[in-house]
Amino acid sequence: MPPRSETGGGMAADAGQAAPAIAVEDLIFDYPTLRALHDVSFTVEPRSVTALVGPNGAGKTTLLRCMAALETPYAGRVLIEGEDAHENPRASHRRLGYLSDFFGLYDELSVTRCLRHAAAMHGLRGADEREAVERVIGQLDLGDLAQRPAGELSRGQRQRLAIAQAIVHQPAIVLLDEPASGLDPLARHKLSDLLLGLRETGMTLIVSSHILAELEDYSSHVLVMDRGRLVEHRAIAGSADAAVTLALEVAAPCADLAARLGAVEGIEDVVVDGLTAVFRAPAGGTFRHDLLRRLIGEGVPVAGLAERRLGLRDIYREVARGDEGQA
Amino acid sequence: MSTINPELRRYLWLELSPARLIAMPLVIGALMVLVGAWAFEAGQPLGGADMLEGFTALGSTGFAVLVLFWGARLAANAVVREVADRTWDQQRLSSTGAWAMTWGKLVGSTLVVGYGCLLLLLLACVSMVLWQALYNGVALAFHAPLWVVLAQMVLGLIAFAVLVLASVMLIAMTAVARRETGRQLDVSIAQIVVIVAALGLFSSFNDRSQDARIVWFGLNLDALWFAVASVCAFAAWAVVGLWRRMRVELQVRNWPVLWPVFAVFTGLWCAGFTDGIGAVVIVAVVVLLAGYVPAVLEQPDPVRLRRLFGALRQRDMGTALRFMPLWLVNHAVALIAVLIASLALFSSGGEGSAGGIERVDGLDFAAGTLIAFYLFVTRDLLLLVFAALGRGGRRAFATWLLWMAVLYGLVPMILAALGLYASLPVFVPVWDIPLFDFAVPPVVWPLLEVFAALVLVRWRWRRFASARLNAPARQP
Repeated sequence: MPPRSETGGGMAADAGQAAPAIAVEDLIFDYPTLRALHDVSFTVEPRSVTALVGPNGAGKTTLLRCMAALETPYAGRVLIEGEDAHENPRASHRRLGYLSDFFGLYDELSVTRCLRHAAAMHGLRGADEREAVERVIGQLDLGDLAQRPAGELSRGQRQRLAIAQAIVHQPAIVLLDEPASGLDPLARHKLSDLLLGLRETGMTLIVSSHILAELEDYSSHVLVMDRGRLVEHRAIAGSADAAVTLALEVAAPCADLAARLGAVEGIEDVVVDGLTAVFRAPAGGTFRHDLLRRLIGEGVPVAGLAERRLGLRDIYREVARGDEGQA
Repeated sequence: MSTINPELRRYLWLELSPARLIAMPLVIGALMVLVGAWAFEAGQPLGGADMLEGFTALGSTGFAVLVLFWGARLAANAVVREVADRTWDQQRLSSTGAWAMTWGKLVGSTLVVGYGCLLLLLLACVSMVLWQALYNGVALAFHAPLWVVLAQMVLGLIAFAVLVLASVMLIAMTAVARRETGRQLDVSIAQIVVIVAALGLFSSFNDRSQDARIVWFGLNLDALWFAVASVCAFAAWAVVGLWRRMRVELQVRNWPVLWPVFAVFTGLWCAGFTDGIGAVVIVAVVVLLAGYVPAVLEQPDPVRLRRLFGALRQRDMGTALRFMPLWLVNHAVALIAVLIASLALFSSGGEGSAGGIERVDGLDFAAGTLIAFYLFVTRDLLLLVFAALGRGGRRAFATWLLWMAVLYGLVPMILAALGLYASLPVFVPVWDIPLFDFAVPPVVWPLLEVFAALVLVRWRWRRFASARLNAPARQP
């Protein structure tokens, strides 16, 4: 099934659009006896938070590791702010922060020293290093723990320290692999606030997680992976650039309703069920006004047109249903 | 502004605790008391010549022991522990360059050993100076001026330490990159390999006979200076190798040229001890044997081979070269070296000896040994690929080692015991049996074995062919 992507390859070329923070092009990654990523392509807008979701084994971690230039793909490329991550990994690492799902810390070092080390490894020295550490300690509320050895921190505190290490050099892009795993509800709530805060500072985030409800709190886009393929990439309802799902009701059966709707530019994924047609269309009243005028002009017995708000969970369910239908 | 290498600073925070700073001189002091109790002579200045000689030996030998048994373990563990503790990805994600990471890790991970070595070196130098000043001991023992002996000892020991620590870290990093074998096993294997090699090396230049001379490429050289210079050269190679390995770990693109160049350098170094055609043969043999090292350490990786074959199919030679395994590049260089040596032997003709190697006939020697030898090594490398492509990939090396023991050890021993000497060329390269003494020339057997090994590899490769990967599959 080809991926449905609103922010696919063509977007970067659109006039007036910002250059993508991340562009993944035809990415293929192989393990010895299986292909983990199949021709994955997408772009990620700057200052967005993208939820990377999919079942176990979908290829989420492999995709993140390829984007972080920790693994070399079989084919394809990853552009981090226009720089090929695999041609020049050290340069792309200056723009990137990554938190692995199974991260480690230097347990014998204090929180401050862990952060000083992370800052120095990204080339920050002297006053720059101190300022970066102080800033990130404040940002992640680590002040009370500054002198504690990392080995004595709780799971949630370790998670905060690991995120602090990943962003100490103020990267433009942050990749987080299952950042909420193992956290209690309060810590998860704090993590949501933190990620929203990072987005506010201008960072672009990609967050992989199984916990859709939590991702919904802060994600603007969703990427759905399944068996190594990208099956969905779209903005989530509520975000500024989201396409919307519309439901059109007709007063009497209309045999060619799907074809009529499909012929309208901007409408896709039309599903007709009895007297209702559900489809995706550009947001905005002007489009809806034009659509209604056109349909009524063509003699379609329109009874109503309403927006259906789809959240992350709805999108995931929709994709899962689509997959089951195909299977 | 602090500009200290961040890796070095991290190790400074972790390793140099006040307890260690105090304990190290205390232990060395205790060892000095032990030496003093054994060699002290009452009434002699500073306890006598034997005691000062004993302190000198304690300093130099203690230095080597500390490097070999503690430093090597710390160096091997430097990256292995990071991988086990899951902090290695953080390091790989930094923007610190490969060279800064290399020297930061090499010096930092062994800081505490370096501190001990510095104290022991000071002890050795001060004792040697006093031994000479009070008893003329250095001149009597080594027949050389004090500064010469001191310079050789200091240079030799420091180069020895760099060689050992960089080699062991390189071996451990290469082994751990496979992410398959047990971490501690990697550390132990790396340490054992380097200890065995280094003990031989250390004993060679610990024998401070200043009269010894050596002939190398016809030059009559001081043996000890030659040993020190050689250790320095190989230490530099070890650091370069470590830097290259670090570049691989940091995903920086590399070309597979350093190892073959090192193999040729080693071949030339060995060839210097002989002359004429023998030198050419030695270069070829050393380069050929050098191929086993990257093959065993890195082991054939199906994904890398698939990339290589894909690039070759598309005639993309740049990409093909990037993904070419080191052992394969080395084997291609070895082929050139073997052909040159064979041609040299062939063209020399005649009876007699060359470079200490007895020859029945130039052509026979070339065909019956060098070419057969090349083919046997080709077979071995293909068998390693075959083992690595098997379902028991983690045990590939052990399986291959068993096959080698059977092919090169058990079977020839059985044949020899049964008196079937004529069958030996089937299993080992013959050294002194003329080619045409056999109904079947000895190169035919390894050639057939290479063909059989190729068929086996091709059969196993089906499982990894690109066409089979296109169907969606879940990760293991």
